Amino acid sequence: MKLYSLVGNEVFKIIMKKRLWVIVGILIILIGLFAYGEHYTRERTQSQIAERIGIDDVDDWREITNQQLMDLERRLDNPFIPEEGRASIQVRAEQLRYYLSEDINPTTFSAAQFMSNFMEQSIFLFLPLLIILLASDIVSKESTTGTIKLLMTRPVPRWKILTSKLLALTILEMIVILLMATIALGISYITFGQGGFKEPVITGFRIVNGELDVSNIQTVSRGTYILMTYSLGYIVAFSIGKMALMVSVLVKSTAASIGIMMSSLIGGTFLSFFISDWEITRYLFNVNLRLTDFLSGDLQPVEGLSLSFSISILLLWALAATVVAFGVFSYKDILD
Amino acid sequence: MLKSIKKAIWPITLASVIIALPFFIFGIFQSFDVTRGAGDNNGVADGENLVENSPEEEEVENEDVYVLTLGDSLARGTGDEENLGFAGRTVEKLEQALGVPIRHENYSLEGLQISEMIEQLKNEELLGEIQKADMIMMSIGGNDLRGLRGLSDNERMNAVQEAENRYEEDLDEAIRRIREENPEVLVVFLGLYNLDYSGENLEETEILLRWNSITYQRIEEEGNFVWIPTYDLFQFRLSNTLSPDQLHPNGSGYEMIANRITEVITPYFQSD
Repeated sequence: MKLYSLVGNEVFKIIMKKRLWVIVGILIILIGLFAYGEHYTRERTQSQIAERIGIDDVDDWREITNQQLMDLERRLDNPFIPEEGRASIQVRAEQLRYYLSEDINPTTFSAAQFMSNFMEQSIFLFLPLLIILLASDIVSKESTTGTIKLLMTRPVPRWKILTSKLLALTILEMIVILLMATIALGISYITFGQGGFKEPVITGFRIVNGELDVSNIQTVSRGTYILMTYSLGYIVAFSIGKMALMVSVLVKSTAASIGIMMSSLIGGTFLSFFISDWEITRYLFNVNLRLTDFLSGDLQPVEGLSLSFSISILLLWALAATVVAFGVFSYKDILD
Repeated sequence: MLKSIKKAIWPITLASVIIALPFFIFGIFQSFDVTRGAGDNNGVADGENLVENSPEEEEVENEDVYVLTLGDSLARGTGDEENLGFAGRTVEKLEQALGVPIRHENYSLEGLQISEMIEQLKNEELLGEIQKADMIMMSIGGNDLRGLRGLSDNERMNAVQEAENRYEEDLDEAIRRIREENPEVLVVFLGLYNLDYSGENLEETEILLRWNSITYQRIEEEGNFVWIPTYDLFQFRLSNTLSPDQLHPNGSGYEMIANRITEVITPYFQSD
């Protein structure tokens, strides 16, 4: 049988198994809740601000933004601002000018902001959990239902079976990312009503010796930033998926497979916080999941990480997991 | 019908993944690009030429009074609708009262802390200006104090003590540097006002008052230094005198401060 149709068959099985639809359901409910919560909080703070300043209309954001912009421009005139500070002030001023010219209220959320925030928040836990949900039964389900014996008796070599499963998984990981993007876009656009994809975003922070280095900051459009975060999300999904596949090969029951993956995901994160000065923690996959933090300049829990280092570690884990999965799957005895 | 849908699932999935793939590749490359610091630095591009424009190039020698303003955002006038701040307003009033033109330079910086001010006071250019000045208006310390807010009680105990000691030392250093350059100059030092007079935050108020008294005591040791209290000014009209950011005074807040300063210092210049 050709690999193409084998992969097609695997993809079809996963989609028909309804597990993907569970993921879609979770996404819709959670994103809906987040968006509503965000909207509610923003609206409340807005009315509080309006009350305190004593204006009825929060349309005055233009005035406040203008004031902020003027302050920033005056600061730039000051000769005593160090070079690094100057750069970040300029980017901030550029952002404010964009808000004013595009009529975007910076005190409320835009759909684009929500999209990138959602990925930044879910890349280290929520996204891996979805992928575990998707991938954990990919082999073990064949064991529990007994269909594995049917698979093995067909005139297809074992490696080809696992390869087709692996490729199907790789494809569906991307589908999950695309679903996340689509659902987040749809729901947040309905909730917030403003796009804001051209908004300039500050990025390019680096952390040197534990201090934020802003000498390299630059602006990209929010749309590009979203592309970046979701692509990094795919790398996380890719690597977690391969690990889940390996566990699924090793363990017969799907429940055990999900449990093992979840506990190592969460347990490893705890571990990295407790023993963060231990050299070896940086080679755990858990501490390398927060890829988007490199874009936004958030401090890493373990020092000395960089984007290329973290991606290499994740890909190494994926490679090792794949090797183990193939090794075990090719030679394991199928009993009972 | 159902069968054809089922048949379409795989090609549709594959097609969408293939279409999405270039975007993902672009995204990953872009991420590398950004974190490496390469790419077009359009945000910082014109940062350089801004450094070059110094505050003032031309020297005007024949003015009677030269006033210098140093310090934080209050000295800069943040929140003032007319962008004058207490410094600009005081200069205007003083000009009227004395009937002479006054030259005014503002070297203040939003968010400045006293340790940063000491760095500033090492700058040759600024020291040169200080030598020439007849009066220096200063507002500093508010940002140092603000750093103490939001600490838990335990942290606060030590942090407050430490910050007070450091502030005292830094204040001493700043005064010494100014005096070294210009033993004659009149220095007007602005006191701190509260943001909450309700009495609910007694602890913070207490720290603020102690801060004020440190400044007051230290300044009284110097001749030609004057400390201008603002605590009482804002007490009963805080809501009308703060700008929308709820931190800086608005125009009328700055006006009050300027009135008080002018009242205090006019006789000094008249007796000259």
